[in-house]
Parts: sequence; C-alpha cells; structure tokens
Amino acid sequence: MSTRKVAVITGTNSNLGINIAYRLIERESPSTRLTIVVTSRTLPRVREVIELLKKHVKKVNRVGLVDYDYILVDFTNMVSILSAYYELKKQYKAIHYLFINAAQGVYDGIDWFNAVKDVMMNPLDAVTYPTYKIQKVGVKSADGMGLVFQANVFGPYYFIHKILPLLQEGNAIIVWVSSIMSLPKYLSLQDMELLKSNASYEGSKRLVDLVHLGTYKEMKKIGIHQYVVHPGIFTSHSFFKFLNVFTYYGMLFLFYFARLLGSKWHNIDGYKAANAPVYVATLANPHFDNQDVKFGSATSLDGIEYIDRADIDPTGMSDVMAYMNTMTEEWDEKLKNQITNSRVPI
Amino acid sequence: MTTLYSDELGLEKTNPKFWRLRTDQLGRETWEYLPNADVEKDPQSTFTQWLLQDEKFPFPTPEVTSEDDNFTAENACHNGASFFKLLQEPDSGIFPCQYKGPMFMTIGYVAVNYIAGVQIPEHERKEIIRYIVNTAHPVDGGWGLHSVDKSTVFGTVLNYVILRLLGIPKDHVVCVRARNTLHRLGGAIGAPHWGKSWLSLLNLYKWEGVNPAPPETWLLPYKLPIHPGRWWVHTRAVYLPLSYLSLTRFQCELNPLLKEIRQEIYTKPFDKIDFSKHRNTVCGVDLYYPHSKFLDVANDVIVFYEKYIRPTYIYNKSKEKVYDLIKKEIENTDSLCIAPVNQAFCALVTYLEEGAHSMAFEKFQFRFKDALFHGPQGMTVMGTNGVQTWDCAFAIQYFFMSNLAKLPEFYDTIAAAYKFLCRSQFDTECIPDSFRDKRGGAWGFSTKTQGYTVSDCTAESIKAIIMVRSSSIFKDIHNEITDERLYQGIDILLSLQNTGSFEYGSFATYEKIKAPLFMEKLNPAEVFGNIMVEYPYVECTDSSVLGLTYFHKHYDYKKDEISKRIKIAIDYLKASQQDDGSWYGCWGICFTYAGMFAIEALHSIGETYSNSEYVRKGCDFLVSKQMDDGGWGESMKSSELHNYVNSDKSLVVQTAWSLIALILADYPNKKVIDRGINLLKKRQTKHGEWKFEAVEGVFNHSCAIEYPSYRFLFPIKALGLYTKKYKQTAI
Repeated sequence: MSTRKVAVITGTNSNLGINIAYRLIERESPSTRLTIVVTSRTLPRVREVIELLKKHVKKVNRVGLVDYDYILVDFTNMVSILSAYYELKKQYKAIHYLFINAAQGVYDGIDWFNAVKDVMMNPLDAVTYPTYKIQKVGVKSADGMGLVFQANVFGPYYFIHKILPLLQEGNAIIVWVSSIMSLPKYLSLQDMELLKSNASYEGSKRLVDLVHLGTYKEMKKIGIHQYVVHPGIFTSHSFFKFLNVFTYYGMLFLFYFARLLGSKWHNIDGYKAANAPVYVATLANPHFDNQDVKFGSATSLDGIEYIDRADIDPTGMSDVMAYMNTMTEEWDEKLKNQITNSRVPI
Repeated sequence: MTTLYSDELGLEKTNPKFWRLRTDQLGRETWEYLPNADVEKDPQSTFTQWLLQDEKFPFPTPEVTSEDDNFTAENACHNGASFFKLLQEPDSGIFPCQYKGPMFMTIGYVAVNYIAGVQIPEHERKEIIRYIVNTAHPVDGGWGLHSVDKSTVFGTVLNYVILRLLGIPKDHVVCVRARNTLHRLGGAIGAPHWGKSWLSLLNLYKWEGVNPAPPETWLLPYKLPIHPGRWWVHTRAVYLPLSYLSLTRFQCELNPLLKEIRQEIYTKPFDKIDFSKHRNTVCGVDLYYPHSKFLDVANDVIVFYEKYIRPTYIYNKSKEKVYDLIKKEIENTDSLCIAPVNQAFCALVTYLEEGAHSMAFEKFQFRFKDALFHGPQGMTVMGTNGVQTWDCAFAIQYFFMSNLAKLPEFYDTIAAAYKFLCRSQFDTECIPDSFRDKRGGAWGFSTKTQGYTVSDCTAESIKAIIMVRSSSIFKDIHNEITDERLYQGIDILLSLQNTGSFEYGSFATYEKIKAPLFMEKLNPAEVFGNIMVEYPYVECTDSSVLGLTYFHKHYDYKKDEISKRIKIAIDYLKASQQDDGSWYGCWGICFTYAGMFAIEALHSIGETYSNSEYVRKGCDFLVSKQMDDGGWGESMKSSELHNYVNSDKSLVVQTAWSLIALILADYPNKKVIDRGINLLKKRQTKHGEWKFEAVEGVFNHSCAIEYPSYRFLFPIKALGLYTKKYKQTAI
C-alpha cells in the first residue's frame, strides 16, 4: 500500500497557490498518493484550479495517484473557519502539509503620481518595496476584527489551532507565506489589528513573521515543523483590476528591468515564486534546522532560481504572541457551542 | 430513538404512533395523521414502524448473524433480504422510502399554500419545521442545495423563508444562525435564478432583478433547436410555468410578516436595493455553472425587448399558449406534473387563472401530498413522488440473481412487486400537442400516474418481468402481462436510442436527444449542469443494454434489429470510458456506480477481465480505489468535481457496486473481492439490516439525493452473485 499524504493549500486559486500545488506534485515522492485539498472562497475557482492541477499531473507524468478535495473557506469569518476545521476533521485523520498562502489587502488603487516619482527616483526600491499602492484604513470584518489582520494572521492562526491534532498526526510541515515587504516599521504594537495603518498588508506579513518565530519551537516539540517563506516579487492576479494592458506590460517591463539592475527578488513568474515554499516543505533541512530564518524565492540575472535566507528581527514577538493567545481563548469561548447536533445520519 | 437537534431545542413534534403511510395499487404514497381514537384499530405497517423507529418493529432474529464466527456471505445475503422484505407495503407491492436530499422542493408546497391562503395542517407544519431544523448545517446553521451540502444562499434563504412563513420567530436560535450565514454569503441578492423567482413570487425580491424566461420561445417554429419542446423534460417543465409567472410578474400581496422578512434576508435595507442590477448576481459559493457570455448578452436583449418592445398581442398570445400547455401537463400527469418543482409552479398558475376554490386547484391540494413524505427527522417534499418502479424492478432482479427467488418465503415479496410493475406500465397516450412522445408500453421512474417514460426504468422493468415470467415457480402470475405488452415496451425502448446525429448509440433519460448539446450554453439555472437538452448517459445506456440483451435471449421479436442496437450502444459505452478506465456516473455517486453498470453491460455480451481491454481498465480503476478496510467509498464531491473523491469512510452501497463489477468481470484476484465481501458482512447488524451511511444518488452533477433501498438491494445482489460464483470457496 502506498503512503498517503494530504496537503492543504489555502488560497489555492491564487497564482502562488496553484504553483505551490504544481511544485508539490512534482517534488513529492512518486510512491506517495497525494491529496491536494484546494481551498478558495468560491466554487467556480475551485473547479478551475482542479482542472489545471489535473492537466499538470498529466503533463509531468506523475506515477503516484493525485486526489483532489476542496473546502470553501473565508478567513475573514470565524464560523467559516470553524466549518473548514469541521470538514477536515470529518474527512481526514492526518494532514501532512499546510501552506498558509491565502492573503488579502484592502487596496483602493494606485497613487500614480508617487508611483511615477518613485520609479524615476529609485527604480529598484520602487518595484521591490512599493509604497504607492493605496490601502484603505480601518476596514473591519463582520466579526469585528481588523479585516486584513483576520484574513492574513488571526484567521489562519486560529485555523491551525483548531486542526492541530490533525497536523500532529501527520507530523506536518506548516509553511507560512510571508512577504518581502514585511518590514518591522509596518507594525505598531499599539495597533495589533492594523486598523490605523495605511500599510495593513505589509503589517500583517510582519505579524506572520513574528507569529512564526513565536510558535515554531512549540510546534517542533509535538512533531510539527514550521517555516516562514516569502515568494519574492511576482505577478499576482489580485492586483490586476487596477491595471490596464499598458500598465500591466509597464509593470512587467519594470520587473525585468529590476532584475537587470541586480534584484534577486524579481521572480516575476508564479512558479519561481513558489520555489521557497515547496523547497522548505520537501527538500531542505533533513534535520529541520534553520527554522528561525525566512526562506525567500530568488532568481539570478539569467533567470536561474535559488533560495536565499534572511534573518528575522524578533522585536515585539512576545507582545504579538500574548495578543494572539488572548484572542484564541476569546474565540474558543465564543464558538464553544457553535457546532450543533444537526444532520445526524439516520 | 435518536436524539435530534430539534429535540435538543425543544421544538414541537407529532406522535410517531399516529402516522400511517397509505399506498395504493398505482403506488401513490401519502401520509395520514390519525385522530387519537383510531390508533389502535389501524395498525402501522412494518415499514412505518421501522422508518419512525417504533419499538414494536418486529426485528428479525436470524439463526446465524454477523455476530457469529460461522457467518457467511450467503447468510448475510439471506438476512439482508429477510429484513428488506419487511420494508415492502404488501398491498401495493412497493418499497416506499423518503426520497429526500434536495433542499429546494418544500418551498413550493409552503409558498403556494401561503400565497393561496391555504393553511398547512398543524401536524405537517410541525414536521416540516423539524426536518429543516434537523438538516441545518451543524456549524454555520445554513442550508445548501441538498441535505449534506455546504451552506449556500439558495438553500439558506429558501429554508429560512419557510421557517418564517411557518411561524418560527426571527430571534429563534435557528433563524439567527441561518441569518448570520446568509449575510456572510452576501444576503438573498446572490440567490440563483430559481431562488430569485420564488422570492419574487413571495414579494421578497423584484422581478426586474430576475433573468427573463420568455414564453415567446414556445411560439417559435419547432424546427429551431432553441424551441423548448426540444429541451430536457425537467427544464422544459419548470420553465413553462415559470415563463408564465415571469411574464405576468405576479407577486403576492405584501403583509407585515413579508415586510419583516424583506428586512431580514438582505445586507441592505430592501428599499435601497436596485434589483435590476442584480439579475446576474449569484453568490460564488452557490455557483456551479456560470452563465455563458452568450446567455448574458441574450438576456440583456430580452430584457430590453420585454421592457420596450413586446407588443400586447404577443404578450397575450404567449400567455395563452403557455397556459394551454400547462393544462396539458396537468392532464397528462393527473396534476402530479413531472416533479414537485414544476408542480408547485403549475399549481400557482392554476390558482391565478382559476382561483383557490377551483376544481383544478383543489386537485393540486390532493396531489401535493404525493411527494410530501414523513421520516424520523421530519417531513419534506421529495425529489419526485417516489422511486416505486425503479426499486421494484431492482428488487425482483436481485432476488433472482441471488437465488432467493427460489425460496418460498420470498414468493409474496416478488409476486407483489411484479404485479406492481405489471400495473405500472403506461397504457394511454398523452393528449396531442403536449410535446410528448408516444409512451404506451413504457415504464416511468415512480408511478404510472406521473406517466413520464424513462429509458432505464423501462429496460430494468422489462428485465425483471421476464425473470418472473421465465420461472416456473411463478407460473400462476405469468399472465399478469402479455408478450405483446412487453413488445410495446421494447418498441418504446428502441425508439429512445439516439440513432440520429446526436451521440450515436447512446440512451438519454426521458426522450431522445432532440437538440444539439451546445444548447447548454443557454443554461440559466446556475446551480445545475447538463440540463438544457437530453444528454447521453452511461447508466441509462447500460440499463438499456441489460434490458435488451435479456429480452433478446428470451424472445425472437425484432431479433436482428435488437442485436444491432445492442452493438451500437456498446460502442458508445466503450467510447465514453475515460483514459483511467473510469466512467462518470450521473445518477449515483459516482464512478463506482457507473463502473458497475458499464461492466455489467459488457458482461452481458460476454466481455470479461481476461478478454476485454475495457473491462480490464474499468476493474483496475476500481481496485485502485479500494480502501484499507476492503471497502469503497465515494464522496458527493466526486460528482461535483468529475474526479474520484474518497468519502471519509468506506460505504456499504459503493462497496457493493464495486464488488458487483469485479465479480461479473471475473476479476482474477479473489482476495480483493473477499475483502470487500467481509466489509459488507461486518456492516450488517445482527438483524440483517444495513444502516444508513451516506447519500447514494445525485442528479444534474450537483444535487445529492437518497435512495434508501440501495443499501439493501445492492449488497444483496453483490453477496448473492458472490455466493453463486464461488460456491465452496465463498467466505
């Protein structure tokens, strides 16, 4: 009997999500029967993704069976997260890979004046650490939390908390997808839910780094190995709605130009961006060391991909963890009677 | 008795001992709630006792049971059959069951009565509420398209509205939970087309936000592929009355309760919503089959036409045409209509045309009860008015295949089911110009009264009847039907095969394919796939092959023609096998179901694992999916994703399906089969029962529906075939 492994990739329908799935399908031992649990917020996207994955399996001629499953989950809603947990618990005894990839920002467009200015003044920084994407400030979810905070940090954190027994059973590898933008300056410890920040996306990724640092040791004790990675810079579908055909190609041009200027982070291609997440999950670290660094997907001038490591500044970690743990207790209490005895099979 | 969620909440319930299921000679199933005084004089049938978990149910106590070491497959087969026998209504011969799953049927019954001002009887009201409450999603409290679905806007809003109309207050915990989920999904604005239609009729939405269902299509020449007379019968039947309602834009009168509901189901105040902008707003969780661009453009054009161009005489003419066709549908089915969705729409049109006290509307009040079925969780409107013919045809065949028919103890069971089949053959034609084909000689899925021919039901019925008529044990009842009537059935079956330009050799469901499959581009329903025209189905083709080959062996009628038809059907079947050896099943879940039918059809023409590439690939596919405990189990997601998805644990029904395929294919590795047989034995209770595990059936790729008899029928067949084949080496 072949070994079976289950991989949950949140936001599988994103450019990075599907490429993580592609690479995992390629890297996982051919004798493994691999189940990819596609997650998304909508059904049509799930169906599209599974069709693409099936094509990929055929293309790379994978010997071992690949199975598919899906859950629809909205990380900005705690009941939806609980539902996802409920479904997974019913269906699986163990989960072997978890990629926390789904993320959202609340963008409002592009500040074109500053964008042009930045690109002229310092092109490399402008396309590596862009500051001209306008983000809405103070957006809350229906659960009353900072929306970006819930979607990118607390939602996934609580999800892991709920499915922990399954992860433990599978000696799972958890990969948090952070960002190259997660600089400490984007997070104020007085504004943990990023409600006052005009860079809530970047702040949420900083939180991800700290949450990782604050948890990976505990996880290791129960046999779960956790990493944090960043995908570098690549084309993400989530921002397309603010671009037209000219600005899209303009962006692509600038990305290649940045690579020419020596940027290793301009992977551009989603497949290359998915290098680090799958690298840490499958190949790297037979002894699971170096979990305190951030693994990044990088590309050399001639387009060869490689992995680059960077240290993470731990400042603020204990405050963040205290906040997360209080919130977890709070939500455990709020949701303790949420699951009812309906749908008893008779 | 199981403690249900409704019990925990302290919801009112009726007394299970007061319920009686009435079935008549034509298989009509209705529930009656007796007054207290009559309970003693009118005993419950064993089926009702079993269904409603009455302690008086006479549980069989077989000699050797699953608890004994010497328990064999033969014992399991026999014990299963002895149990199943108790679930037959002896007078009608049918095996009644709650054919439930879809969560969008009951709205029709409740809404039409509400609009017409008809009070739903108290015992029904309580039990309808119970069913809905007990099928709420355990985590978020919403409902989906079917009873085990994720929560969707469609399911949640319709069932929420039912609860409110039936008197559950908005601050009841069930409503609060459901409303939170509805709002998370964006509110009722994201309901799919049928949902928007029901809400509009109840004045909870506005028709300008519903995509058009233009009745003018009925005035087009029949030659055009777009003519609704060429559509799949269900779609045709639903859009016919819906086009009337959409034309007249009927809305019931607003009242204080409806005003309240208007404020509860949206995320914005009702008056602030511009409904005309939301024709195409469908929640992403609901959406299985997005509109084609072509349909969107066509809808825009039609909306413009309806608003500014449609002349009054066209309005009147199409209304008249459609109402005339509705009356024909009513007459052809004795007010049952094809199924509960269109029945409710037709009833509403009848109410509007003829009034609440008309004969025609009162007849609907009578016929509404045919699909309203009670069960342990409560009462619900079933997917059809039953599964009577289909289950009887299987029961007879499988008792024969398992050598049970020889035993005197099952004589009455088989005879009663056989007589029911003989009574259920269609012997009248539809009234002219109904856009219905010749049906005399055919069988339907449920009853003769419903009267819609189904290809596989006709084939399976013929096969079952021939089995009885070829057995000397049953010689006393051979003459319940004549050879000529069987020939008529065969003629209908042959007429259903696609022998023209569409899907050569295949069988569809109710009719031949009458328009090209690209008509699917016009599918407006958003939640169902492959509904616009008839489609070729592996299972229907297989059943038809089984019927034809069996008939061919026993009769000389149209011998050459039938040989040819079997051959082209088999060719179709082989061509529809997928690369991995699987066949996608459309009416059962999913690949195991279609795999069984396909391999059985190939077996019937002598193809096995050793001599047929198709059988070999089909078996290898199934074997690759065997679970660690020796069983098989497939999730509803298989049907949704068109990709094999394991269920959380192995399931008796799908294990039986896979085993039947492997046994009939002469699969060489008996160990694989033994492991499955062991599972069937283990899962049987000491009384011979197999408990409900998971939904077995599906329709339109997205909606799960239960076939409660399957968990007896198919294990009996698998165990019987196994015992017969392996004799001494059987375990």
